[in-house]
Amino acid sequence: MKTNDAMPAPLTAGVPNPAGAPSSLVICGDYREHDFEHWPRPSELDLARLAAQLARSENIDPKQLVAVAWELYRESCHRLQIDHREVTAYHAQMDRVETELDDAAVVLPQWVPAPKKYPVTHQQVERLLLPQQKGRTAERAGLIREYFFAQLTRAVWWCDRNSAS
Amino acid sequence: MVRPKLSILNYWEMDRDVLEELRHKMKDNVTRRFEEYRKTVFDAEAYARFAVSFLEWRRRFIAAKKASAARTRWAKEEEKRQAAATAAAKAHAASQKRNKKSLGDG
Repeated sequence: MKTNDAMPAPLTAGVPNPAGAPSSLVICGDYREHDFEHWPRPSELDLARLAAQLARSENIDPKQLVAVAWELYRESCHRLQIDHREVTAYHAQMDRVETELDDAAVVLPQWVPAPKKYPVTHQQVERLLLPQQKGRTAERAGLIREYFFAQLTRAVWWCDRNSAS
Repeated sequence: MVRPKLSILNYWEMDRDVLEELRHKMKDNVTRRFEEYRKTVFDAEAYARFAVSFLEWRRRFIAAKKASAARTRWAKEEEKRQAAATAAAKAHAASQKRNKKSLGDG
């Protein structure tokens, strides 16, 4: 499909790529991160079908219909690229949050009871951290499980369907 | 553009219903993690990481529990207060009605 003559400026022109690196250095298999030239094209038949769907009467100029269909396709690409960038940014934000949470202090503070020697088993850990629950195995297990659940839900994507932006 | 709003929430900010739904969905993950924990032998760094994180979480967990209990208690007391106020208003209205009636009879 020879469309290069009529090809408008790339969609990403003047816009930094999501990673923020110079576009010439980015090697990425995802076409949504590349300029418009690298996006998949509709076939002649696809375009003709889309143009035919736009025809309200037989008198409309086919050239005009195809031009509108082509614009629709381009605008759809544009929208997908914006969406891809937003989703990538969300994922980057999520990764930052996870990294911050994982970089916890590794030095034992004074307020934490220290074992006499290392390594320690989980029973010894529980005796040190939960002295009030001594002998209450089920209660201790319940607390630890709740803690793990809290860890797993420390950063959850929440989709609020009531508020669309 | 119509897109549902996405935000990052955590354990402390979620509604009880959402939390319960997640608890149900993540049951297997929690079990797996718990089993891993029971097999773990903690060296100094692993212990420090776990102990700090766990005790901080527990402190907040206890505070949240206390706050929740206080809210429930307050709500119950408020309900009682409202019920008492309604009963008093009704009793007052009834006594006024009686007074009017006795004045009318007299």
